[in-house]
Amino acid sequence: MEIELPKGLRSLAKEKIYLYGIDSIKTIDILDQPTLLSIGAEAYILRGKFMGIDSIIKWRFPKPYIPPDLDREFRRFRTEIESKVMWKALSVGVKAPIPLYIDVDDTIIVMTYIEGNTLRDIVDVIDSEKLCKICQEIGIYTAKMHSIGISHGDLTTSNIIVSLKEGYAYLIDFGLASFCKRDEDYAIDIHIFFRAIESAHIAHEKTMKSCFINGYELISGNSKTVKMLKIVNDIRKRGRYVAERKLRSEWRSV
Amino acid sequence: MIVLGIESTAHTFGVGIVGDSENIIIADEREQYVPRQGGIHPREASRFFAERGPIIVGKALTNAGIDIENLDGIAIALGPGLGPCLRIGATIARALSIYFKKPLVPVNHAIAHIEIGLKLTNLLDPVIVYLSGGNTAIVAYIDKRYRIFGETLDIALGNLLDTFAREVGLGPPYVVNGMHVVDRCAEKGRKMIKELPYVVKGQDVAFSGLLTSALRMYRSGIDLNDVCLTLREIAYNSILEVAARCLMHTKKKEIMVVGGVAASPILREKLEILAKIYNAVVGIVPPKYAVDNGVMIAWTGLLELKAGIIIDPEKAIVNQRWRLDEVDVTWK
Repeated sequence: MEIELPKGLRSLAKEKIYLYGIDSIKTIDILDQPTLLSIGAEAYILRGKFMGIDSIIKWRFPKPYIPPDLDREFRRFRTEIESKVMWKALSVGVKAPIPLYIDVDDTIIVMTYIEGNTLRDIVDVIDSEKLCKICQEIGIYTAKMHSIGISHGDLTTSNIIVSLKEGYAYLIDFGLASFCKRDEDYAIDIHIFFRAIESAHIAHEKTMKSCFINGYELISGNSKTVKMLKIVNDIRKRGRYVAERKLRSEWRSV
Repeated sequence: MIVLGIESTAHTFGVGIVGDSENIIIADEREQYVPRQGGIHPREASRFFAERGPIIVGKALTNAGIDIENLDGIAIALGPGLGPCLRIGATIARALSIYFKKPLVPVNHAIAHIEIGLKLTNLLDPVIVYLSGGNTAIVAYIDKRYRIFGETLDIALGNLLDTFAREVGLGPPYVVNGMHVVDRCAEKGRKMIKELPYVVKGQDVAFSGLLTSALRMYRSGIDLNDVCLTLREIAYNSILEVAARCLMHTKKKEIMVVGGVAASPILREKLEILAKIYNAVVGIVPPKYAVDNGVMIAWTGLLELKAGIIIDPEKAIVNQRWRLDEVDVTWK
């Protein structure tokens, strides 16, 4: 599909870096051959070489169905937050892509490419021991992020990449991440992860959930984890027509 | 096969009769309870249903020219909805079922919205955007169930628009000539207000904060048209964002909008632009069948009856909180 790249990216693609050696000059394109990888809910994801490094270019494209000023503000704000959150998450040992170039005016983030498959695609392929290890890692990362005041905001199995080489899990797409202080905002992460499991990988529900909780506990400790799970349960009850929330006078299963 | 369906979950008492021939709809009768002021009071609505219900059932049968003996089943929406209202419909359905010895089919109201939508839009496996006065959910069919991908964590979209309209004096009625009064008021809006909250948490949305802030803005003297515009844009776009995310996550190629708010031309336009980006097809349920009606209950009842789903009248108790993802879809 043809897409019109923003000005920032187009001009970047024309620039070169010259490396002067003793008897040679090496040139590297700043941005080489960006090709469209996928279209996300709010951004185009391109892949290319950024200064010779295999990279992902995330461009939040203008949404034709949103009034332009509102749209611009959203995209700018999210680009800003996303890049900040990624740095902070990396600093506490969460495996995530490394931001290489940030342009908030053109809403572009260039970050390192992670070779691998999304957890969503390989859930049914890998054995349960491996699956458990991955979910535990995700639990650890989540707790680490929460400990420094970050919530990922979209912790689904599509946003977890299992690297081909080392088999580590990486978190990607911090597009909905935010800095927050309330336990409730952190619990939303767990809630979203659990619901992603229930809606797409129901057969592995038990393994995935228990290993995630186990990982979370390793960092946050038992009492904090129990508290979080209670909040998750409360959030769940806020959905429509949850029977657990029912009043005494209401229906009971016959 | 001919099935009569009764809908009485909120403010509409609807009776539909459907068959499995080419043109499924044989009869479609409905009456709406319109409160003199404020929202729907369940007791008043149920009183209205009790008075009008039997007459509407009779009318449907007469207009269809069908003898009740020729029906193959009675379908009833047992939930989710307002308790007192549900009970009136359930009582009528149970009585008909027992007296005329017809199998009783329990139907989930939300699933009925989806099933009639699939039938009328001819979509096969869409991402379903269910928007009504009481519901806001993004649903996808996976592994024998309709699963909720994202939903509102507090009030529904229809609820947000109606309550806002009522509080600022734009309604009721909330929908004039097929357009919501908030949509109409937004047409004259010129600029976006910066401070209104946009809440998308992963796949879920929340609107109560938006409602409170919008009302506060209006009361602080900001132009109503601008408030309407910002409110509408934020509300619609948060749903579109979740829908887009669901499209990506499930890799489905169709979107279907069901429920009372599906009639909104603005939302339809936005969805069509969105669908173009993702190469998806949009199906909008005709407004007449997007709102609550008896036909959708009858149609879903027919599908279920064919799969052998019936319920003993003694056990056909209404369930105000019957989530659509609790229903095993054995008829597909």
